[in-house]
Formats: sequence, C-alpha cells, structure tokens
Amino acid sequence: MAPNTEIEELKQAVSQSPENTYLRMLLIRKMQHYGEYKEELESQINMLLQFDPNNKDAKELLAQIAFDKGRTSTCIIILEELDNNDVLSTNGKLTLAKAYLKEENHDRARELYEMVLLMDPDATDEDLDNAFRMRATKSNDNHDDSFLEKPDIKFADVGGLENVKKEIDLKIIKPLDNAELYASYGKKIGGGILLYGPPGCGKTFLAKATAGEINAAFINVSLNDILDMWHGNSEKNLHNIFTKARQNTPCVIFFDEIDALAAKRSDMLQSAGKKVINQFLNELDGIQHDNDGLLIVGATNTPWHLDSAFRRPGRFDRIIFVPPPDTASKVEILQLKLKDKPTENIDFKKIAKRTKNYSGADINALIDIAIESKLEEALQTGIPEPITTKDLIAALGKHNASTIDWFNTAKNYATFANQSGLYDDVMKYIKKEL
Amino acid sequence: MQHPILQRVELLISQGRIVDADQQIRAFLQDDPTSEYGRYLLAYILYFQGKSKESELITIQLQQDDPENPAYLALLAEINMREDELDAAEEKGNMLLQMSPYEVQFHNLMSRIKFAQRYFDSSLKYANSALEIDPENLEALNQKTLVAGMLGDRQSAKNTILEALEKNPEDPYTIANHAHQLLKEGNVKEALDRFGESLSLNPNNSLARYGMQEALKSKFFLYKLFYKYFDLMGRLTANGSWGFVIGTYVLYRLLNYVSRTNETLSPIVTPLMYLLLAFFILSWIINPLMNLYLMTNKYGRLLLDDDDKKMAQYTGASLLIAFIGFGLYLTLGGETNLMAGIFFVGMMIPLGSFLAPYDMGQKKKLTMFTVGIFILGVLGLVLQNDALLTGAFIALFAYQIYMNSVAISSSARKKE
Repeated sequence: MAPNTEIEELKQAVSQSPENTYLRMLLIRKMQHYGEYKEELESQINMLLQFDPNNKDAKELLAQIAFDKGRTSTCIIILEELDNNDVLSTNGKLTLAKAYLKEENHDRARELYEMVLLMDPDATDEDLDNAFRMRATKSNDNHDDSFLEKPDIKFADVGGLENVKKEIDLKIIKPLDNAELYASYGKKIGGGILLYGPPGCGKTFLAKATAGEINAAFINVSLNDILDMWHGNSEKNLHNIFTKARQNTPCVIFFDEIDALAAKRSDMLQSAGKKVINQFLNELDGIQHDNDGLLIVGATNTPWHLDSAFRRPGRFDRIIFVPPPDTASKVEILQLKLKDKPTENIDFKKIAKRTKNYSGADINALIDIAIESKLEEALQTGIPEPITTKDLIAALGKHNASTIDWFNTAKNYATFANQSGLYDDVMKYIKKEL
Repeated sequence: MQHPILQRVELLISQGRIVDADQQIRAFLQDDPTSEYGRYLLAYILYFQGKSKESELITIQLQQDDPENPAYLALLAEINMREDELDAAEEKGNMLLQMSPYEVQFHNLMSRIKFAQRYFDSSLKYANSALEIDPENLEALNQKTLVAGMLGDRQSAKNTILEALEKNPEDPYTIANHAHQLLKEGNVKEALDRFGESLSLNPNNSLARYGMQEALKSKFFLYKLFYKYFDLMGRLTANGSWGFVIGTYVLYRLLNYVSRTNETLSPIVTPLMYLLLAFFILSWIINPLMNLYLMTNKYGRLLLDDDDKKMAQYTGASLLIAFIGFGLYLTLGGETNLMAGIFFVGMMIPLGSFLAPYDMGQKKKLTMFTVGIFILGVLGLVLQNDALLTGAFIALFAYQIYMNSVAISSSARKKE
C-alpha cells in the first residue's frame, strides 16, 4: 500500500472514531515521516492530547514541532513539564538542551547535555557538540597516526632485569612465536600483562622493548590521551585507541599509570570514572571487537589500587614485578648516562654497589647532583674539571633512594593482602635485598 | 564537570596517595592558579599531610572570596580538630549546622568533635541526628557504633555495625569497626580475622592497625583483662577516675596496714597487697611489654611505629636489669642489688610511656625528665648515695602522678 493511501485511510478511520487514541497515534507516526503533512501533524497531536492529555510521546512530538518552527519557549514549557515528571526520553532531553542553547541559557543546556551523555555516550548532537565539546574533538584529532610508533629497541637494549625479560619472553613472546604449539596445549596468546614495581625502574622502556622484540607497533597511552572533562569523551578516546591498535596489528598498547584508569570502583568518587572502567573492561574482553594480535601492557606503581576485575583471566592476568636495577644494570645505566660527559677514571662498579635500592631515575638524579656541584666549582675556579668517582660518592649523601617508601608500602600489602600470592615476588625481593 | 587532573587528584586522595595528589594539584595550579576548587583540594591535601597552618591560610583566603561556602568552614573545623583546638572546631560545627541543618556530614562532624572532646553522650546524639536525616549514611553508622561501644552499649553497637556492614560489607573502616566491637566483646579470634580482612583492603587504616595490635596482645589472657580494664576506665568521668585511683591507693595502704598488724589475716592480705601493686605497675608497663612480643610477630612488627619499638626495647631492658638485680640480691645479697631491682622496675613506667604522651608537645620534656631520673638513679646506685636514690624514687613517683593526672584529664569521659 502506498504511504499516502495508508495515511488517508488512517485519517478516515480516525475521523470515524476520534476518541481512538491508538489509531490517531498510528496516524501521527506515519505522518511524521512525510514533510507534506507537517502542518496537519500538529493539529492531529493537539487533537490526540484532548483525548489523552498525558500522552508523553505526543507531547514530545509537539515540542519537537514547536522547536522546528522556532517556537522555542513553547518547546521548553512542554519538555520541562515532562522532565520534571521524570518521563522525558533521551531524545526529548536533547531537544530540550538544544532549546536552552537557542535561548542562550548555556548553563542549563550544558548541564542537560552532560546528563544525556552520562546516560548514553552515543546520544551526541552536532550543535551541542559544537557549543560544548570543542576540546574533545581536538584531542581526538591528535590520536591519528602521531601516537603510533615502531620501536627499534629490543630486550638487548634493556640493561639488566634478566629475570623480568625471561618472564616476558616466556609469557608473551614465545606464545606469539609458537602460536600453534601453545594453542594445542590450550595456552593463551597475546592478551594483557601488568608490570608493577617502584617508580623509575624502566617499566615503560621494557614495554617498548617488548614491542620491538615482537616487531609490533607501539602505542604509548598517557592519562591525558584518555581523560576528558566531558562525560562520554573519555570512553570514546579509549575506544579510539583500541580501534587504532586493532587496525595496526600486531600492536602493543602501553598504559602508563594504569591505576588511574583502572582504579577500584569503590575509590571512585564520580560515576564518570566508573564508566571508563566499564569501557576498558569491555575493550580488554574484546567481545564486540577482535583483539587478536593485540598485546596490552599496563604499568603501575600501585597495583593494590587496581580494581580486581582487571586481574581476572583474559585481562591483566600475567603480572610481573619490575624491581630496581641490580648492580650490573646500574653499571650499564651509569656508563650510558655519563657517556657524553667529561669524566675521569670512574669506578662504575663501586658507585653501583653504593647505590643500593636506587632506581634508574635515582641514578639520573645522582648524576645531576654531581654535575651541579662540579659546575659550581668550575664557576668559582674558572677551570672545568671532569666528574670523578669521588664526586659521585659525594652526591650519594645528597640523594636518598626513592624506592624505599614504595617498598615500605608494598611490604604492608604483601603482608596483609597477599592471599592470591600476587606479591610473592616483592616479598622475595624485600627479604633478599632490603 | 571536573577537569581531568582534578578528577585524578580526587581519586589519588581517596586512595590515600597524598604525595602524588600534592604533585598533581600543584602542577594544575601552576596553569590555573585561580581555580577555587584546585586551591580547595590543595588545602585539603595539606591538611592530610599535617600542614595545618598552610592549609588554614589557603582555606581562609577561599572563605574570604566565598563566605557562604560551607565546605571551607568544614575544612577549617577539621583543621581545628587536627590541632586539638576543639572549642574552635565546635564553634564552626555549630555554624555549619545553622547554615545547613539537614546536611548529614555536618552532624557527623559534630559527632566526631564531641567524641574528641570526650562528650560521648553528645557525640551519640549527633550520630543519631545524622541517621535521622540519612539512615543509610555509612559514616554516621560507624560513628554511632564507635560511641555506643565506648559507652558500653554493646547491643546498640552490634546492631549498628551490622547495619553498616549491610550497606557496604567491603568498606575497610566498617570492617575494622566491626572487629573492634568483637574485640570489646572478648571475641579475640574473630576480631583478629576481621582486622586482617580490613588490613588486606587497606593496610594503612589506622583503626585496623591499632585494633590488630590490641587483638594480637589480647591473645594473652592477662592482657585481655587489662584491655577490659582500660575500656572500663575510658568510660569513667574525671572524678570517677580520680576516685578509682585514690580508692585503689587507700585500699593498698589499708591492706599494707592489716598485713603488718594482723598476723591472722596477713597470709591472705599480703599476697592481695602485692597483687594490687603488681596490677598497678603492670597497668603502666603492660603495653610496652606486649609490644616486645609484637616485635617477634610478623604482623606486629609492621604495626608498631618506631617510638613504640624503642619504648618496648627500653622497657624490656629495664625489666632484664631488674631481674638481674633481684637475682643477685637473692644469691649474693647486698642492698644495692635489691635497690637496683626496685629502681629498674619503677624505671619501666617512664620508659614505657615517655615517647607517647597524651599531648605530643610534652614529648621532649618527658624525654628529658626520664633521662634525668635514669641518671639520678644510676648515680645513686653506683655511688651508693641514698640521697640521689631517694631523689630518683621521688622523681619516679612525681612522674607517675603527673602522667596519671594527664591521662585522666585527657581520656576521661565528660558530661554536658
């Protein structure tokens, strides 16, 4: 049946039984799709409301027509009434937000739009976006290829950390290289690993080297790439990153400070953060999208603040402790950092042994202190002298290992919250080294 | 809507990562130094770090710009509480209640202020009024549990904590509070499990850390008795406490008199007298002695702070010397050995308390006084000088009287 004929028949039926609101609503819904009935549509809705004054769908339609015809205040009156009774649909709320915007009531428009996005992140509107979400659009643009890297560093470039490298090799690289063998034993390939340990101990470098080792693309995600002040945008940013990674497999996505994105939901004051967590879990599970060829690496200094949902199988179920560098690694770091600086007969081993519990970042600080005091001397004497072992030893007294505080906290968790054996490696390290 | 960095700072605060929060908020304020909420968060972080003066300064500035904002007044009240300026805190608490009489958190604040002032009955009243406004408020439920437990109303404490657990069974503070009530009921084993559970969720929870120590010590029957005794003493008013102390002293003198003058009753009365004396001395030294035990326990070691450990070691050393003194006296005789034994038993009182006074401002003075007593006593013993030794015993007595009076004035229950 041609639509127009259908509408005419419905009109006849409605005129014979004008109180039949169901029929009239059918007619209205049909008319809605054809521009030529625009004028008549409004009168049909008004008629329907005479018989069924509480019909919220009809009221929303009437408000939409009023908005389209530029009668913004009429639209606002109708929709506010529905909103006050908590019966306004998401679309209705969007119309109301747009009406507020038209009336230049920006605060209310923005407030309502944020609420809509909180309920449904996909319920976007171009006009409202243009008015309130300029930042988000800009930040999304940055996510193009600029954040994709192809690291040329490998495990051989990471000084020390032999046990950690071995563990990553066994848990991640070997499965990727021998996919079929692992699959035949039902072992998982790819997925997520969590690196944790004191700050400044090379977790980022290690993640990059992992990507280099498997010749994969690397995306280093910082908090600023994700978090956005508008509701819905953080989830969108996160999804965009995963989409980009899925388009560039094999790919390693590295989340630094993952505790901020995957914090315990009980610690979250705002519901927006919880929505990001849900989105993250969704992406990790890869239910809607294929995560084959994706390796997700998270790094954190505070694994105890991570929501336990992230440690479930299939997510970050392989957890690796990254300790401070050992003596051999510290020698390598010292040699590397002092390579282009004026030095004289430095006893690297001696310094490395004296820097107990120093992280890579602490060694940097140590060298900085030594250089600063050397500069001070040079300014006084006018003669620049090379850095010596003595200078570095003197600097030791001015800098304490930053990992100590971390180990004190970790010890608490390893003692009281180690039911699953999560902190066994930390405990072993504490007993051996501290 | 919150700026992402401010959201991050809020999260860091709720995770108790104050140093990280401090770094983030300062970086944020460098870009946006006028942000009111940013400055408020900085003030809040400073308060958490114990930097009351800096925090107060920023909050007062914020308050001057926006005098109607109750959040600033509430933070100032918290700062007052931290600084033990309880009257000032109360004044602000009352102002907040006048501004927003139905704001549950201000009723909770007043309940905490009254609790700190030891006005337990008023504290309970405010916890109840908070629950009238919001019967599901977790803080109010926890506060009511704490106060009811303190007042000895076990049933009310039990019902309230079960209600709180129903609202949030995984909140570390609520679990610790539950454990605390179990401990008060004498259910040590279950209390230990629950404290452990709370610590596994948050090892820095102060109630759980304190409670775990007490529960570990309460595994010993003797300490369990003292725990009950301390709990009962906490419920007495200052007059009641003084009455108890003086009454005990009078009883001791009476027993002493009967023991010396009545041969028939002496065999019964003399042990009673020594028992009373031992009870009195133990009430002062049982804590550091039990801390010595905690130092051998894998959980206990982590729960004690450095001062506790030091006091435990000093008290233990003093006890050892006292034993040696008594041992030498019993085997070789010699009054000096006996006096050394007695002196080092007495010395356990200051050594077990000088680093943990009720008013932390007194720590230095008490340390000096303790060192003074020690030097006086040791000189008296080495030089066999009665005057010096008598001086040391008088100083020990004075120390103990002073500490008793401070303890009573600081920890006795007050009534309005």
